[in-house]
Amino acid sequence: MTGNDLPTARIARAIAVAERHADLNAFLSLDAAGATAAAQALTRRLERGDRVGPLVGVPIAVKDNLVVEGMKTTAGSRILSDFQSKFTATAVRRLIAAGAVVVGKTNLDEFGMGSSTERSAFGPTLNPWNPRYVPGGSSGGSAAAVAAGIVPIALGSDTGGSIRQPAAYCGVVGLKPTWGRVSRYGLIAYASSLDTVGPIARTVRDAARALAAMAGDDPHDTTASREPAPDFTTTLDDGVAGLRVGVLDGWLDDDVTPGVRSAVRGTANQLASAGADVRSVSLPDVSAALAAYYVIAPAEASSNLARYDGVRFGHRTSVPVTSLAELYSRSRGEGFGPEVIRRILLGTFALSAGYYDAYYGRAQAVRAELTRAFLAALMDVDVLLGPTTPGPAPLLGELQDPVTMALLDKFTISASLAGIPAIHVPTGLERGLPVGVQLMGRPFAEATLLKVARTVEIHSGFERSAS
Amino acid sequence: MSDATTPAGLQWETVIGLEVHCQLATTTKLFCGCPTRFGLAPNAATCPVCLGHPGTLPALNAAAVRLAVRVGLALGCELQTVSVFARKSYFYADLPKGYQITQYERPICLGGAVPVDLGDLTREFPLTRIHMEEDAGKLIHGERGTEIDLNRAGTPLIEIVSEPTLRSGDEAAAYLKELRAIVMALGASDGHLEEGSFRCDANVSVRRPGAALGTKVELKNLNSFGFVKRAIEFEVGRQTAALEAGGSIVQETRLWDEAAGRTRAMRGKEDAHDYRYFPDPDLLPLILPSEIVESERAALPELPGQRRARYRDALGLGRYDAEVLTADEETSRYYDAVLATGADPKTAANWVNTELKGRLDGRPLSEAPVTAEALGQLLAALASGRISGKLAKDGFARMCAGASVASALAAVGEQVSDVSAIDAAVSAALDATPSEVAAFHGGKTKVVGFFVGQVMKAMKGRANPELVNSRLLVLLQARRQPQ
Amino acid sequence: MIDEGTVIDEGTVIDEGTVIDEGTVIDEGTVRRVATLARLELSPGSVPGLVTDLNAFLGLIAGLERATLESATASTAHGPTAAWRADELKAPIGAARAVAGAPGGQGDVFLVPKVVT
Repeated sequence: MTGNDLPTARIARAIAVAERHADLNAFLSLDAAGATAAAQALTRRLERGDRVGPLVGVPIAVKDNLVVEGMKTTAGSRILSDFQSKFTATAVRRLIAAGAVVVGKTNLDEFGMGSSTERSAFGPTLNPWNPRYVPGGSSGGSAAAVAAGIVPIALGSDTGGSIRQPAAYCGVVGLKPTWGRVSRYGLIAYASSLDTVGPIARTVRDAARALAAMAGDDPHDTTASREPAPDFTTTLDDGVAGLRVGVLDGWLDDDVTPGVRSAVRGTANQLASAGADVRSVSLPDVSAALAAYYVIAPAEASSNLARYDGVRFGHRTSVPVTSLAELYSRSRGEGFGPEVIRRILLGTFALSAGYYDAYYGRAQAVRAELTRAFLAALMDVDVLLGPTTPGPAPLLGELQDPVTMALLDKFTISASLAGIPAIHVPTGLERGLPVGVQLMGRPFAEATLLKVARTVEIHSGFERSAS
Repeated sequence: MSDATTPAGLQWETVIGLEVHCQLATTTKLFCGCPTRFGLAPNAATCPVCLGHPGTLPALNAAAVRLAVRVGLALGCELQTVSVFARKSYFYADLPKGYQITQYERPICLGGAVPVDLGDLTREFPLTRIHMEEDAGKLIHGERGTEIDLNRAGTPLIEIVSEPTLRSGDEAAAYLKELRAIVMALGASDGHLEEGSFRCDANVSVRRPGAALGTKVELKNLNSFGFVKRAIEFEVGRQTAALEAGGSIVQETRLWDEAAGRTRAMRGKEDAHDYRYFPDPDLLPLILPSEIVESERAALPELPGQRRARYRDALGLGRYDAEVLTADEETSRYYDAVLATGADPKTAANWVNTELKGRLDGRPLSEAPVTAEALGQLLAALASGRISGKLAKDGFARMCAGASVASALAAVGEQVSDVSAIDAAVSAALDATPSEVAAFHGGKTKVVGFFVGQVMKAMKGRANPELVNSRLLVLLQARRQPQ
Repeated sequence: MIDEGTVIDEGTVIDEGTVIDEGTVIDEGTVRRVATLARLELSPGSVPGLVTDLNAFLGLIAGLERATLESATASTAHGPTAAWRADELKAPIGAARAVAGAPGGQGDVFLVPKVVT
């Protein structure tokens, strides 16, 4: 290891680049002192010849809805603007144990509710490819931090596309693992049955390394699977010969841009020439998935966000109140932004007396049906290939209407509802902005997914760096 | 005011359903590793999970599941292979997450019954369900405002819900007493009423016999079995009076005010019960492995009702003795241990209920000064005739003072059953008191007791009392002057 | 910890009769009622906009009604059965840390305006 590769040097570089890109507003907090100290400790260990983890000295950024003890965690919300957690999220803890160094916490749509990072209480993040555009969301800060070259790996969370969609808009790799693959302990919940923690990375290999470090069961999250977590990096270069790839042609009939359509078709051709058995697959229309998602996610959110009541932590109104109800209503009304309020209202309505069966019950039935359809399709093929987004990143301020914003997730929510792993791989540019493809796989078959993604990465020849 | 026992009240039938919240006897909370121990300093037993901090998740305590299964098996419930935890949403200062994790549509147990001894007959009061849930915290109303202590938040409970088949305050009290004895015998709960380990709400309504169910009122703040009985009786009176006056009953929650001897309406909770239940996505369905059910079934102890029946039917004890000996787990365990030494059931019952309990004077059996085995040996000496009842009591007193059985028996000495020795003592006593002998022969048979005392005194209490009696009568007869 | 294979829960059967009334419209009264239930004080000017937005979402959700369901069952959750926790004590964080940073924290308790029952 040369001096330039030592943890101290790498962390110093990452912090310098972060500071140079401060105008992107990718980070809500940078921890230069903590990261430097951690890097020095790792450097000493390396110099002593101590055993170190596989990610030694790798600077990482952490979405600010994952708690890290000793740092603020805001979830992009005023209601948690001064919140300090008393523990560290399992996923972060494992990356640190593998040698990674947390340089800072990244911006996001408040509580993960949004697709542009404009719904952060702390201002929008800008797209490193062109600051007039959004980076996507909700993990926009993490995607921007990777795209700007600040860190090679950042943690995101994905509930309906919040890793894959910003990865697409920022031209980086974004992996949403199988639900249960990575512990959610320490992830501030948005919609628990859909929430996942995953990496956003410069390369498929870095995504695989991060997943390998994070995956596995956790006594703190009893929904985390005991499915063995293989070393996802060892099979990355095995190629796709003989693998069956199902192309979701039906999704390309939708109003997707030409760049996205040709990204999917081009990738299908490249995979075929790399030896994969590529065929067309049809799956249910995305409108039912969208409908189910916009019942289940707000319903769970309305419950998950009930704990922010101004009593034990977080914002409490400074207006004198005379009752508990008033304390709650004022603290919450002041602390939550409009998108969060909208979704809490929608979710509360969907669960309220007289509406539960029609909305939540039926949404769960639709979800079960959709899951069956995806799992059935994945019996016949190893991976599914389709678009991640309808097009490249929208302009800042373009997404005022909440339903228009919701439609940006139309291709990502299916994998979230079905609980299956999915990855975005960038393949090219359209109007100077990145576009790419989405691959979806069988539950816990991330190794296959990553192998195919690696092949796509090699064949796309995509120039990774933002300007 | 009308009352259920007045002639007017007899036209009304009382309908009572009970909901019992029973704290499970686990070491840690339902979803985190914090202690459930009572009496800790405020908020000392809290962690990010039970404080509802962002990013935390519930991890189900296996021991709580086992105890719920045990209670379900003991009460003859249908155990559900799949049960589901749900979130019950409402905002309150004692509820950290804004929802309580409980079981709603799919509880762990359905059906079952509580067998209750009602004087001459045992009645089975059917259950609707038993579900698992977490407890809330505690509010302390002070001058600065309301203080919140979350030590109790997350403590595991089962809620045992009866069908509305109870008909009186007495039945309700008997049901609760029996249910508490059962969960304690199972080791499923410590049953402490004053610490809130066993709490009850009652749903009470009245109706004309055969008519549809009346509007029910939920009674809370029932902190003892006596409160339950009195609150129900008051409420039945209040409802029948209202109905007879042509009024109607409002569905509401009422609190029992013991000092005032009446129920009063609780301030209405807002949002009238729109709890927005849905399955908790942080907890997968609870799948009950059959090994757990079978191992719990195999380890089920004898229940208080079964034990009472055994004491009465197999051992021939009277209702009173059986009742007292099964009143708590320790007493019946002690009694059974005495029996295990081969003691006669009735003698052993007398000794435990009279001699031992008398010495304990209300203290628990764990403080018994004599072990069950030692008492058994003492009773064996009594049964063999080696010692008399009186000597046995003397010996018991010595044992209570710390003596071993052997040294106590040695100290009291053996009973003398040698006829010539007794005859000698009897003759000496009769010789010394000729006027009493004459009185006897004159018809004052009561003086026999006096002679017994004299003989016993002369023999230092060791004479076999039966022999003394019979020899006295023989020798007195022999001294009768021929007429 | 207890462990035991994958079980697919067949879940709750959804009553076929429960369908979304396509005419369901959220009005200002509903928004206010739901906001009270969710303990959210709405700024007075925000209600009309919320009515519009929530009705737009209802339009999106109407896709539920059009979805064809082969079998009308909702799974309660997917995946394998959960692990359980052994009944072993873990050190609590203690009152001082629990209350540290609480907006209404005072000594070893949390504090709110007086609750009347």
